[in-house]
Amino acid sequence: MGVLKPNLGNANYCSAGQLSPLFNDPYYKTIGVGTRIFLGGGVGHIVWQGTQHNPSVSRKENGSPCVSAGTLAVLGDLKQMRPEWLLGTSMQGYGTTLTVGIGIPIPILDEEICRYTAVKDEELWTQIVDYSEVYPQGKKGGLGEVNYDQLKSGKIATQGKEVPTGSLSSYPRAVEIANILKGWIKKGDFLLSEPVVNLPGPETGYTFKPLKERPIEK
Amino acid sequence: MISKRIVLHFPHRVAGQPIVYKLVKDYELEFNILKAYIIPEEEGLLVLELSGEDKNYEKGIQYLMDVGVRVQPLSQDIVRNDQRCSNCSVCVPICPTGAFVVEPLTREVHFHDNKCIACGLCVRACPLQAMEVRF
Ligand code: SF4
Ligand code: SF4
Repeated sequence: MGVLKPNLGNANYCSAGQLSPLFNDPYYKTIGVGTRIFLGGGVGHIVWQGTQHNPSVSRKENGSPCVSAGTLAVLGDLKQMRPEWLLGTSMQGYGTTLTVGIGIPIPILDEEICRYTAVKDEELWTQIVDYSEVYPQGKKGGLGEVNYDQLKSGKIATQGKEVPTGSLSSYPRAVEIANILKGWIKKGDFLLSEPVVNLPGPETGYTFKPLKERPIEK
Repeated sequence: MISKRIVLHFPHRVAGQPIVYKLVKDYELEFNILKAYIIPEEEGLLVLELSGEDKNYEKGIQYLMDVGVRVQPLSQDIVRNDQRCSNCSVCVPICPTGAFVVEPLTREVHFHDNKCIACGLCVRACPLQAMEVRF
């Protein structure tokens, strides 16, 4: 979650919001196992749902989830990847990780999918969570709900405080990826693929189990 | 009394002169070397914490400039490696002086180094390590 200042000094968020693939296809109608994607500058594929895939969460009327829901497992060819799109990353106090550029084409097959892909930041909501207590201890209860438009405005209001926000995902990079992918598709180099298998959606009741820490029994 | 951290760039023609000695002897300034870097035939670099009476400090700095040393406040020496920066914006709320500003339309993150006080907070907070300390 990046560096957090004490007493609600800042709030960090993740995802490009209205440009994020899973926010544009909230019921995984076109994104599934086998889908060809932009991955780290090369071409890759979706191979499965991610370990924290949790589609059965509460959703807004437009289908967008109110908390983190869909996740993906992807596979790519390191030899095709570029250093601009695959970066070693250090999260102070947490450890090392990778920043990976990922882009997923969504074919507009019907009006329904068109409506999903037209989603705007102000229609995408998420929960404000206290990372010092609630998250690590797996407690219930957030500090309120905000949409991506509010997050991107640079400050949000919670607990009677105005809290400045920072994003961990790069929106300009998301726009760049979308344009590269569009270029590939237009040139005919990159063909869209139908999913071999659909990812489990909310109707399946699929959930992920949080890891509950148990006290050591003597 | 005044005490400042400064960066001195020595063109190689003055690198052989006893300049810091003069600061001590003629202007009664105290110094603490934070970093020194000299390559023969090239520019020399010295990062100092320099302190003394206000008047003497001013004269000392004037002397340095007169002999051809380029003097910079240390604050100008946090630089952003634009190649590494992804424009994520996680540094924006971290900076105490508001040196990072997000362009509302494109969401690009601008770094205004004239606002930077070289506190170093962003250097560790930037996940891509795009903020670098340079002397
Ligand atoms: S945190 Fe680093 S990568 Fe992100 S905008 Fe700031 S300088 Fe750039
Ligand atoms: S070093 Fe400190 S003042 Fe300078 S940009 Fe980074 S956080 Fe802001």
